[in-house]
Amino acid sequence: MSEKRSLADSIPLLDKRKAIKFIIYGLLVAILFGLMMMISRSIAQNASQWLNLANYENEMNYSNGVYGYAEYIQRGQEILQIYYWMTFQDAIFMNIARVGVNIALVFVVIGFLSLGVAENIDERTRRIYLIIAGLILFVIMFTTFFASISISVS
Amino acid sequence: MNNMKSKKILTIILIIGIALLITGPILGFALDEITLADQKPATITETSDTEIQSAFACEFTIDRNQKAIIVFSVYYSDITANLKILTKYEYDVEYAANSNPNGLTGEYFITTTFRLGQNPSVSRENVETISNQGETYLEFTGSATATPYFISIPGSYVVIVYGDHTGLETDVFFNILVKVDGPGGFLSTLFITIGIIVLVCYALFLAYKYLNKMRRGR
Repeated sequence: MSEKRSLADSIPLLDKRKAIKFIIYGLLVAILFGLMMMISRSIAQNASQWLNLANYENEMNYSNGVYGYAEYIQRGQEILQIYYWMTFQDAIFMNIARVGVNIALVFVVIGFLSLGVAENIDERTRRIYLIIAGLILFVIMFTTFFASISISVS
Repeated sequence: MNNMKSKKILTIILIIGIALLITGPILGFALDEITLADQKPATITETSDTEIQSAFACEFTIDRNQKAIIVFSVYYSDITANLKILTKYEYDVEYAANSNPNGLTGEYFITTTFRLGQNPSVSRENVETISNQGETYLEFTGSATATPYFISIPGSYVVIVYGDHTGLETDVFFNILVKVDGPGGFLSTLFITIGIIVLVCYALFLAYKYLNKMRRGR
């Protein structure tokens, strides 16, 4: 007679050391992608400030005779193109970062789930690990299927 | 022996990469503009005022979106000098006929007047005349609209200067600098890109070697 397998048995089980490694590396990768997200957002938000500065510098260089009218116009166009890229790169990097964070969080979830079903940890701690895993899973689900969820800290 | 050789090659590659990165911007700056004429002063006779064959002429060729910059000035009393830009074809025809340059229309260019503490003013002209003293900074791409905006018409053109010296003197003195856009920007980008690729390849090769060493060590 084969033993009946529970749900916990089907979860990828890792030993404690490996599970903690999964959590740490997962968090590190998530932080890195999060950092990328923040930098990208910051660049996009400050693009108009940069545009004003670059345009003024262009005007000053033209006024001071560093270059002529043709170059002034060409540089103005280049500045505008960079400005559009600075605002649009947010869409590209935010999506890359979102995928990266979610993948990293899956590793963290696996790590916590593995800790939650580990045998050499007491019952209460395991329950806490499972709750954390559930919460992270909840976040992954929501950030994957809903684009408008955001957390603002003021 | 083999290890020494590969180390030497790696060092050479590293030096090439760094050299490309350094020479890129220098080359870009040096070849940003190519000077075709720089005469201070250039001398012509006042017969140029009636005969194009006596006028100063400098030929240049521009491609699409390429521009010519001309700095034209006069710092001599009793002298009136005029500058026009003709297409090469028109110049050749008028030169053969030894026409009067005053009767030629010339192509449109844009002049810039630099003003202290103010944005420069620009205007479209087809002839630039300076009497006694003055300097004009003008740019040419083939033609210009009245707005003024540049119109890019690739081709060969000739800048001519003719003038008049009132009084007994017959020589007309003026200063002229003719420059066209060079390949500096392109070369700079090319050198920097190749330099970065070489350095990235160098770093990847070093990482590969290190990993191989680690694996063998295990």
